[in-house]
Formats: sequence, C-alpha cells, structure tokens
Amino acid sequence: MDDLLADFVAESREMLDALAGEIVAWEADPADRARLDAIFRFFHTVKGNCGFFDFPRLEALSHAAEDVLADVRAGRRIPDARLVDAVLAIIDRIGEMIEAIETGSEISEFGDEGLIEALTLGGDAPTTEAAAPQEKSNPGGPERSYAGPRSIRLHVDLLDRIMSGVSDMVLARNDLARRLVEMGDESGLQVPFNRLSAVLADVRDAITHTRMQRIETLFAAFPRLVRDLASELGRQVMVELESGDVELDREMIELIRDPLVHVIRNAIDHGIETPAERLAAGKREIGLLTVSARQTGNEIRIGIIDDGRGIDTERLIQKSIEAGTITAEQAEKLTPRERNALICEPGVSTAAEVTSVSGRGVGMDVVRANLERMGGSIMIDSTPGAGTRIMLNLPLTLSIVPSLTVGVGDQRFAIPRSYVEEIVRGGTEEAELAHVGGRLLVTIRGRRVPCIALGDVLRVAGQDARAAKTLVVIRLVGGDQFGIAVDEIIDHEELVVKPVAPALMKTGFYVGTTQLDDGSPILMVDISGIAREAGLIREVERVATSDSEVDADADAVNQLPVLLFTGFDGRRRAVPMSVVDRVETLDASAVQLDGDRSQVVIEGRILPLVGVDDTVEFANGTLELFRLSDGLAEITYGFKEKVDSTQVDRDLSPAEDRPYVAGVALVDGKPVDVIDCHALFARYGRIVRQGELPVCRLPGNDRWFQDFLRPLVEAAGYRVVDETDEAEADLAIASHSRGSAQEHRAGRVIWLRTSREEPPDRAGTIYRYDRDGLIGALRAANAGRGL
Amino acid sequence: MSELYLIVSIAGEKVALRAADVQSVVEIENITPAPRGPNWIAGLAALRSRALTVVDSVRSLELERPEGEELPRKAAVVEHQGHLYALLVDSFEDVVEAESDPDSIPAELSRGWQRVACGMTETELGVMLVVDLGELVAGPAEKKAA
Repeated sequence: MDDLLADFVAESREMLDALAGEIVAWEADPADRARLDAIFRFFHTVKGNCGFFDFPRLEALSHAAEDVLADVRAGRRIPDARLVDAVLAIIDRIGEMIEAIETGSEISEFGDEGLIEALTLGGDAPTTEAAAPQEKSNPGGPERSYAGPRSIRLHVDLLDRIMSGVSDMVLARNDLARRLVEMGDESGLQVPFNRLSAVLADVRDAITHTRMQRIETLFAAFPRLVRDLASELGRQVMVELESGDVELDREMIELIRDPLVHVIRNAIDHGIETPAERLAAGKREIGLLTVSARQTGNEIRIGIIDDGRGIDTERLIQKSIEAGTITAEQAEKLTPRERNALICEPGVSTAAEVTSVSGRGVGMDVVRANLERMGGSIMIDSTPGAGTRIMLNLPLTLSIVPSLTVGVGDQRFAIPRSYVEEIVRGGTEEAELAHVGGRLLVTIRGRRVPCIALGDVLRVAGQDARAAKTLVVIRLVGGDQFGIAVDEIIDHEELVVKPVAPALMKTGFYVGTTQLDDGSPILMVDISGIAREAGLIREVERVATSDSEVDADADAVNQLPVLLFTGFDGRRRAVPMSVVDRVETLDASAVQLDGDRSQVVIEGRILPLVGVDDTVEFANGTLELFRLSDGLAEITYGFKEKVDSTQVDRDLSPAEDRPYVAGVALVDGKPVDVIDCHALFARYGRIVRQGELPVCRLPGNDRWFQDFLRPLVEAAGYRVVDETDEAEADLAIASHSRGSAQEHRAGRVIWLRTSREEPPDRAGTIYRYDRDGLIGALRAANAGRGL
Repeated sequence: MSELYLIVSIAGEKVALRAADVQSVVEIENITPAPRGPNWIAGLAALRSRALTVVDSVRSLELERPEGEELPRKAAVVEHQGHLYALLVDSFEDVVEAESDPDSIPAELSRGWQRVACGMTETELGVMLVVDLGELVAGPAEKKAA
C-alpha cells in the first residue's frame, strides 16, 4: 500500500512539474486549447487516483476544478483572469497536499471551500483572499519547497546498461591500479587515480541501490498472510522469516511475490496438518513454516520449509499417470526430487478436496512457469511425515556480491558472504576438532557441526584437510550449518560477479566468476552444491529423531559421542550427544523447583526438569540445561557447567546402583557417569504437548491482567485464553467484584482483591500482588486437576 | 558471398572459423583452473577486464590429449550466448575469403568432428571444415550422465 501511495505521490509530482510550464503559458493565453487540455487531464488524473486512496479533500478540489474546466472546454465559460487565478490556486493547493501526504503531515482544511467557491462564476471572493488564510493557518508546517526528493521513471534496460557499464569500470579501474603499482610512484597519477576510485565507488554505490529493495519489504506481509490462512484452514502455524539481508531487484520483488505467496499457501493448506493430526503424529501442535532468503553469486535462493506431512509421492505419481503426464515406466526411473517435481506439472494436485485456497491443480505449474520465465528454477525436497523444503532459485540481475576470498592449495575461490556465519580457527578451544568415521566434526559453542575441506570437494591438491586451521562456518538456507576448511582467508571484497559458462554452471560447484584486483579470474563456489556433494544437506531439516543415533552408529561403532558436564552435585557426567536436542539457558522465573517434580516452562510447554534439587542456586538468575529428546517426549536436564564434547567407549563399566546411570566411562583417566537415558525417559518422559496444558481464562481487555498477571500465569504452565474462547477453562482469575464462577466458565476461579488486608466479606480472595499466594494457588489448581 | 574465415589448426587439422564470430586472437598467459569442471574446460583467463572460459578444443572434440601435455597458448576469443570463450588452437594460419557457400559434408567424420562440423567451404587454401562455435564451446554431450 505504501508503495502504491509512493507511486501516487511520485506520479502527481511529475505531473505538477510538467504542468508548471503549461500553467504559465495558459495564464498568458487562457484561450490556448492545448494548455487547457493538459491542465484538465491533470485534474482528471488526480481525481481518478484519489479514488484508490481516501483523500476526500484532494478529490473535492480536483473534481471542482475539473468541472469548471470541462465547462470551459465545452465553451460554456470563457476563461477570465479570475478563473485562471482560481485554477492556479487549486493547483498550488494540490501540490501542497501531495507534499503533506508524502511527509505524512497534516494540512489545514481551512481555505478549501474558498478555493472551490472562487471557481464558480458568481464567486466574488478574490482568490488571493481565499488563498491567504491557508498560509497563515499552517505556521511552522513544512516549508513549501521543491528541494524535496524528486523522482523520474526510467526504463529498467537503461539502468541495466548503466550498471554493467559501472561494473566494467570497476574492473578497468582495478586493472589500472595494478598497472600503476607496476610503474611505481613516478607516474604522478596516484592522486587523480585515487580521486577517480573514490568517485567510482560512490557511483557504484548509488547505482547499486537504484534498483534494489530489501527482501524484507516482501516478507513483511507474510506473518499476516500466514495468520489469515491458518485460521481459515484451521491450522496453527508459526512463521519464521529470515531475510539474510538480501536485497532484490525491485522488479524481481514484484515478479516473485505471487509465486511465493502461492508456495506458502500450499505449505499451509497441504503441508501442515491440523492440530489434531499433528498431535496424533507425535508432532508439536503448532506447525513451523520458515521462509528464508540467501544471496549467492548470481542467484537469490528463497527457501520455504514446513514441518508438515510432506508430499505424498505415491499419490502424486498415480495422479500424474492418470493425467497422462508420465507413464508408469517413466515413473519407476524418477529420482525422489524428480518425483516431487511432478507437483509442478499442469493438472496435477494431490489435494483430496478443493479448498478455497488451493488444490485446484493450477498453481504450482504457474509458479514454475513464472520462475522459469525470469530465469529461475524450483527445487522440491520432501520427507513423508516430516516436511517439505521448496527452494526458489532466482537470478540476480545485479552482480556485485560481498564475498570472502579464500585460498586452498595454490588456488583461490570466492564464497558469497551471505552464507558465512563466522570464521573460526580450527583445533583451538573455541572450535575443537574431532575425526569421526572419516568425517571431520568441529564443536563450536557446544554445537557439533560437520566439516569439509574445500580442497577435498573440489579435488584441489595440497590442502591439509585434517589440520583444518581455518574454518568458514556456513549457514545454509534452511538453517543447516557446516564448516568449510580452507588454508587461508585472503580478503573480504565486493566482487563483480558474472555468470560462468554453462558448462561450468552445470557442474553445480560454481555460481559465478569474477576478477581480483590483480586481474586474475576467480571462481565463486556454489555453497549448496558443495554441501550436496559432501552429503551435508539432509533431505529436510527434522525435529529430533532417532536418526542421529543411527548416524552416530554408522560413524563410530564403538564410540559414543557424549557431552561432558558437571552436575549441581559436583559430579562429572556424560550425556549421549544423540539425545541432546540443544543446550538452553533459561531465566530462573521459568523454573519451578519441586524435588522430583521440578519443571521448567519452555516455549509454552511444561517439561520435567531433572539433575537439580531444591537447593540449587542460580548463577546470574539463569539455569543452563540440556533438552533431551527421544523423538516423542522431552526432558530437561540442568547442569552447573558444560565441560566438553568427547567420545567414550560404548562398553561401560557397570555403575553400582546409582539411579539413572548407565555405567562409568573413562575420560582422560577419570571416571564419568554416563546417563542412562532409557531409565530417565522411562521415569520422567511423558509426551507433553501444548494441548494438554491447563487453560486459564483472564479478562482479555484488562491491561493489568494481560500485562502484569499473564506472564506469571504462563510461567506456571497455563495456556491463557480470554472471554472469546468458548471452551470451559480449568481456571479463571478475576477481580472479586466481577461475576460468578459460572460466568467465567471455569472449573475454579481465583478471586483477586485490591486491598492488602482481607476484608471479612471477601474471604478466600488473594491480594493481587501476593506473588507467593498466587503461585501457590495456581499450582494448587494445577495439582487439583491431577496433572 | 565473400564470407571471411579464420583458418586455425586444431589437433593437426586446419579448420575454418567464421571471422565475424572471432573477436580477437590472443596469447593466454595464466589460466585459473576450474576444479571439477569438465575436462575440456581448461579454466578461466582474463582478457583485460573480462573473464574468458578457456576451452581446450582438442578435448572438446573428444580427441586424446595426453595428460600433462602443455596446453597451447594461442586462443581465438569468441562470444557465445553472452559468454566469452577462448578456444585454444595450435596456430593461426590465415584469414581467407570463402570461394563458395558452406556445403554439406559428403562423408561421415570422426565423432568429435562430426558434432562440431557445420559444413565445408572452398577457400584458396583448399576445402576447409567450418566449425560450429556453439558446439565447440558446449563440449561433448553428457553421455556419461545419462
């Protein structure tokens, strides 16, 4: 909408500017028909445009002027000086209003009537008087100036030419720089050359931005879109947007909007299941939809990832055969990705029924056609039951890419910086290396990340992969991380990247080529291609499953990767890496210590907390814990200090009768208790889901309840609803004066009072700032429910 | 029809390139390898501020070039579908005028040549095979991938 408005302002301004000359000419000769027509058209256009927006005054002004000029054109009125003055005054007024719209300021309504009146034949009010008050009425307002930002419309082709010209200039400048260095200082050209460089940098910067718009402007509409679609379709969807600072060609943003919206619709309609289905499948009730963007050499990659049911490929193939898109024999030979791609064939839809949102079998084919028309492509990966990842690859007409240049062996390569998360030194404390089953793993802040040597993947000789001294940590679209070991980081540069020849593009390892300052060509690597080659792209990022255990088995048969930590009792323990979902730091307020029944609240869920006792003291008011998962249930395990990740022998020495200890392993010659996850989950593991949270009703329109009380209630493990929720709540909290328990539709009601002392007629109420009392009551209500 | 041809020598054969397609003839100094690229792409080279994809014409013709044999340095710079290529050739012979329109070839050629040949033309140096630049820079069809 803002864009539309900006267009309106820009267009009106252009017309006003163009009109300036006409007005003067018309003033000199009011009978000049051509001028009159031009001015008439101006009013007509402004009036028409006002229909799109809510600018009644602007519309009234232009309408009045248009009417009068129509009379003049029809010969019903003779333009006299007074009429000309009146029309000019209106033009001026419109100019002011447009300026006010642009700056978002208000302009006094006073004077409009007078201006319109001045147009009428018998109007005696001289225009000057009508116009005069308006100037006074706007003291301190924005000065009317024509120095504000102006705009012109350019053809995109022209910008393309300028841009490629500037790109070439940069390269020519680099070449020149090199030659100057070769000549030494005697040339006397250094100073003018530096000036040229600075100017060129400025120009390049300006040109770069002429066509670019942050992709965030496109993404901004998605939360609302997702919310509306989700409620229409009865889904619960959380959307995560990651724009990766990507800037996209303005034109491209318009072209990509519809396809992207369509893919998101599909993800919500076909991908993400209803809350009930999700619960039945052992997933969180709320589906997760991630939309992220990354820039590589000459491509923008937009990933739309959902954790829904995935694509039913069998059905898809069946449908495709029915539709005559492929034959059964052809279907046999398809790779999984090619099977998924069938969804983009015309007339194929796996939706069992047609909804208002999707399922009509038109759409994905149009999406693909649109993408291909702009030189892009679409790639679909899906794991049944776990989710779908759709990648839209878009070409980038603009070709200046911030990059990292790295050295491997005696060769150099460029890596697009938007992929680079950080650079670490391998083999140091911050990034410990481990070789597991022929794969290099690096541990960065408790996260184990697979590593590959760039030299290995590209088969460049001379790289010592095992040393992995310098690691470039990459984050892929979709969040997968991995490290790329290189020999050296050469530079951060803004490189003018040009497409590589198709034969090299086809290898999947390169996205572009560029030249360094010394004029030597350098290839920009395709990070996704490298990751795919090295087997680092998982089909779809999944919620913790037992797969990781299988992987670990395959990697090291006799070694168990574990995380070492010190418990609150001071003992060193180890927890198998495969059950650790993540390490988290929680605010103490989210922790309830209660002996064997301690709990934490994470992301709106109550999880059992073990590894702590009631005497635990929180350092800095926070608790660090592991989130352990067996794929269905989750348990949290608090610890005092995380030590290290390491491997222990799977053959553990038996532990004498300590609870939840599978056995003792030796680490650096010292015994370490390895946690018995089976026993732990057998005792504490219960599948806690949001749907099972007790429900508490709070008055929705009361700021105090929503702002002050709600966090406390949520921390106590309740899901908070308000009066609009029809269902019976487990608990309601209300001011003592308001209503009965029936009215609050709750099993129990906690009544709050505003006075500290308990008045006799209000027995059983709780003072609203009695925190302990409130927490006690909340917990009692929860316990009464039998949880 | 006085089409001009640049006669070059590739793998011991003299062939004709349409002179209009050839932007310049250069000596390639440094080639930046493109690891894991197809074997007929020797790498990248710079021509002033532009990058060239260096095509090893011999390998593109699916002819043998012993491993380790030094690549020729002479190259014809051509543009194909917006990309600049340097075609490595053994030598430049001459620029000649065609004495006839390109004609079809009455015989089956060896495989690589068959693919890149788009006819032959009569010149003062004799009958010359006219090479389709597009085919030469596109390399052998991906038969292994199938």
